[in-house]
Amino acid sequence: MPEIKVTPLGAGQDVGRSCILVSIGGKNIMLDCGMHMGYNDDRRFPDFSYVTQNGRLTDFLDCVIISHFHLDHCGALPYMSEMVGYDGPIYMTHPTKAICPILLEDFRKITVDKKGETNFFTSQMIKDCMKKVVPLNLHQTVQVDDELEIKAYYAGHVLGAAMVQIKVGSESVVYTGDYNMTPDRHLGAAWIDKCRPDILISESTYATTIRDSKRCRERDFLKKVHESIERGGKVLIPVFALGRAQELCILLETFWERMNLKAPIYFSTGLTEKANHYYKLFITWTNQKIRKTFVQRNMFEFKHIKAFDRSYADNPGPMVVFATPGMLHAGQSLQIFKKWAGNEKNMVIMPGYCVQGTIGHKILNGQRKLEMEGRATLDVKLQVEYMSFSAHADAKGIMQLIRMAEPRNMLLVHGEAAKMEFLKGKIEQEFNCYMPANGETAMVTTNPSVPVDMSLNLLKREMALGGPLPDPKKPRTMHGTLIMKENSLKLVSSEQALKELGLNEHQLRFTCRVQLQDPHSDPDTLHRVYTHLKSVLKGYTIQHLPDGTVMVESIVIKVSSSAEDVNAKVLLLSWSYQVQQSPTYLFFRRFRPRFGIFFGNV
Amino acid sequence: MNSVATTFCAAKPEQPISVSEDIDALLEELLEDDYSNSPQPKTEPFPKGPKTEKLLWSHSGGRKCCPVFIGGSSVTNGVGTATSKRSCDQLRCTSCDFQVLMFDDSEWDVSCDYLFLRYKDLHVFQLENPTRVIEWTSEKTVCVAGYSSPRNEILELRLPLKLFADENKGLCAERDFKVVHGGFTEGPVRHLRHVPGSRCAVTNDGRSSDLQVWDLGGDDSDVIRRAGSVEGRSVSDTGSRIAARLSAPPQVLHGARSSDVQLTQLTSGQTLCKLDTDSAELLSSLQFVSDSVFLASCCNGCIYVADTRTSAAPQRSTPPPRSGDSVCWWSDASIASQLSSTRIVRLSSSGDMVVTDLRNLGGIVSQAQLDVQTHPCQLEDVSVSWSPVLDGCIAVSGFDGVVQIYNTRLWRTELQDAQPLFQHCGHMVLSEQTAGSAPIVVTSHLWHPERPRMLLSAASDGSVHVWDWVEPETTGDL
Repeated sequence: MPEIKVTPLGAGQDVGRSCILVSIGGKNIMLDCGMHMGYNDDRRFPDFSYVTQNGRLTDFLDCVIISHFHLDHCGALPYMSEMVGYDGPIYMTHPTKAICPILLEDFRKITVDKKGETNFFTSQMIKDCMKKVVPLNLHQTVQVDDELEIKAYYAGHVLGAAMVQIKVGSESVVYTGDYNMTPDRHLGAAWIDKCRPDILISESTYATTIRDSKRCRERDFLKKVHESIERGGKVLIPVFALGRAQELCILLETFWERMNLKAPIYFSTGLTEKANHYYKLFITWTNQKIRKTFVQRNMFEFKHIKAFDRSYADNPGPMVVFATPGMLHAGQSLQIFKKWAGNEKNMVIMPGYCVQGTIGHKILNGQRKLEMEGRATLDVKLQVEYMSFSAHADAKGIMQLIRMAEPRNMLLVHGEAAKMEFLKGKIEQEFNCYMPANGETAMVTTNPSVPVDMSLNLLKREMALGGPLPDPKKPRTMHGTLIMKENSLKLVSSEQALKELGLNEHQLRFTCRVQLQDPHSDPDTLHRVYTHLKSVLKGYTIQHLPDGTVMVESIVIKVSSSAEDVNAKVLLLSWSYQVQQSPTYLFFRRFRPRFGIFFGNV
Repeated sequence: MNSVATTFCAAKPEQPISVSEDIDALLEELLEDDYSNSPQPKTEPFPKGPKTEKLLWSHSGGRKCCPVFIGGSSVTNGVGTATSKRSCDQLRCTSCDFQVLMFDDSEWDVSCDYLFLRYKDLHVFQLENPTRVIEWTSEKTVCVAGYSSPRNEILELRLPLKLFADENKGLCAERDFKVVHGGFTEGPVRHLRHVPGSRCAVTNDGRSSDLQVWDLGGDDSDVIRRAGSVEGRSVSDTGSRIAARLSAPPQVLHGARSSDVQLTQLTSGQTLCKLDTDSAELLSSLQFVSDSVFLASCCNGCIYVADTRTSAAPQRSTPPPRSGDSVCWWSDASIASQLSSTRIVRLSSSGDMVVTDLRNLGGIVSQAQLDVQTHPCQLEDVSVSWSPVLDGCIAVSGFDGVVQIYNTRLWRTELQDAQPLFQHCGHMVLSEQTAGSAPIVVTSHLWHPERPRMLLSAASDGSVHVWDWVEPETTGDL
């Protein structure tokens, strides 16, 4: 039976460094190629030696697909393509293609320039890697080769996030990447059609979570910002250049507008232009409301949010600043943080994850004294708030997607293994559910339909034999010869098959000997058999042929006597293969014992 | 931005709103209708010309309302006194001293979240299926279970850690429910009790008097498994009420009618004691008020007080005077360290609320009349409960989509109209259900055992809210 094999190299019963190998219909596909943000040793990247011990990956992979630009989904890409070696196509959506290298470069800077790590990919490698990228459009079916096709669906989550359907013949797999089933201010909800894949590989980050409503989250965020502004404090929001930052900007912009607030909001320079540029470029990837109002007003052209200048940080009075990078490890956000940290009226709101070792990580762990470069210490007096705005599907969302796609099997990745037994049980009420660990392979046998061409002659003959054309919903047996030649399958009549293959026709006959005691001569015995059959088998053509045989339909009967005993006669019966299957044979068989009885009594 | 605008719903009176909360309210309203060019909501916080002219200012010449009444446009404005009830038209904000504006025949748009006001914490969740039970299983976990389909889920949820973070609350980003354990039930779950001191829960499907026993699972597994069953004593189509107390081995008190109440040991199935009554009245609840004393409250308003240690006949109280035949009663007893200070509240389907003393169930400590619009078929969701911390406070839900908090200490022995101290309307306001579908009904509510103003509530649309309300400032002296 054909099988689809799924092997996670990362994200199997784990969060981080998503990388999943799928083997379907003889094709090998790598889904995502992420890094683990929590490690800086071997565990950072997926273990590509699983694919091949030595040599390049190109020979073993037909394509690589990246679902979105988060580093736990694309962070190992330059390492894989340039350091391990892969020259095949890498598919990702247009926004991901645009944003991914920026984030990779950003992260490279932290790792190499800040932490001083060596053995990491270089800027040039990122550039070379991105040259191998083939962009994808939503709902566009891309033919990777003659048999393998992929199609991207909208996944929400971040700008450009996609779910992909991978199809070989009638077998298919859908990989969700990270997705979000509830629309937010700047992105829509994930959507897929009823494509009934053999396997749905879904993320399960929040599978055991019932999420607090977005409104409550946003209310708390705005309340915090507002409180701080009211008491004259300054609010720093360290963000990644792209991602949730835009969501928060729209939120604050609306708030300021409606509340008629006057305190300035700033956005790190460079970032504004870049982000705006991307969002304008990829307006089709945002949600419907933004697309609709785009003509009158671009939601990403903010009225209240202005470009930041480093001198503004010392301005008196309240203000809100969005600054990069998001983990306070360098750059503008860190500079501003140092300036504002000493005043308890101020506030820093961390809207996302921080890697260990960064200042962001330290202050989120409650550290109040920070060692800065040059032995100086920094007292953190400002208020620290942590608010997660990540957009993942929760338990309800996963079930929603399952009902949308109607898969035959489910496979969960990107979630912690322990304590998912209940969810697995829940899914298994309707589907098989797999949760392989890293390096473990889940196998799903499929039942693909195999198309076969049938010759017109044979079809016509079958129609003549079996009445009207078969009901397409019901199977029907027919006779013919299946010819497998190159990559095609043909069903033809046996004569044609013989002709095509240049083979001689063979006749198959069955014979049978019946011994009886009869004192008459051979011809007499034969005649007695003839008259007897004539009386018993009424309605059958029985002929006594001059060459000393009796024919019952096409069954031939001959008589010969044995050499030792003249009275012992041997009745020789012979019939063809066709007769064996015909009603005559069955009838004849039924009567065979009677021969014995009849002759025995003679 | 300092002018405070408050309008009142036509139907239900509201408390005045302080300035910072009002900002919050406006904000919530504003955020919701976003950037689209939708028409302005009906309530315009900043009144434009003609609207203000409609306001009628009575010149009361220095007189003050006593007591202060607040009402909708159906009530005449003016100076309120005990004899002539007029809603005060001279309200001023307690923090900014600006005048409170009123607009006749206006009410807040549904999209307006002014009900977000006055919450210290508010978390809103959506379960896949609605629940009629919420029960604490530990300090931070609750058990919920579905009732709407033939096969349902029973879930143990961990409350958001942020709620419990006392220090560095800002650093705790965890504000979601976590499903820590889950299982499947073969029928609906109408009643659920956690047996204190164990990892065991007992449920009833509301169709028979049999009980299902569940093992809630430990740290090693996230699955809730069926651990057995307890057969009820009678055939009943209303289901058994269940009560549990701290005991080893675990025991539960259960029964559908006053005649078949019994205490059963869960492990052995052994009947430890039975309630000895002649009548077979339908029960509305069973409750332990101390280690051994329990109440069996009947739908007709009677209450039996019995002791598991003695086989003496239980003490029976007659229903409160106003109960007719068609009226249904629910009750709850406050948990007090001393049995003598235990109060019992009885609530009828027509809105009568009667507080009595456990020692004198016939006498009335205080009473009030609730304004309930009864939907006769919806009464199975009604529930009334004493706050475990706030003395004299009770929560009422199940008549509609609102949870109301009342302070019974303000009531007297004479009947009066009860004004809620606080209303949680979030289930109605935040519901995503479209118009035309059945109205939202609160199916259950639960007080936090220690945090005075924290409650959980669930509604028929599957929403579960965790809210920590702030007591509105008294409106007394303006």
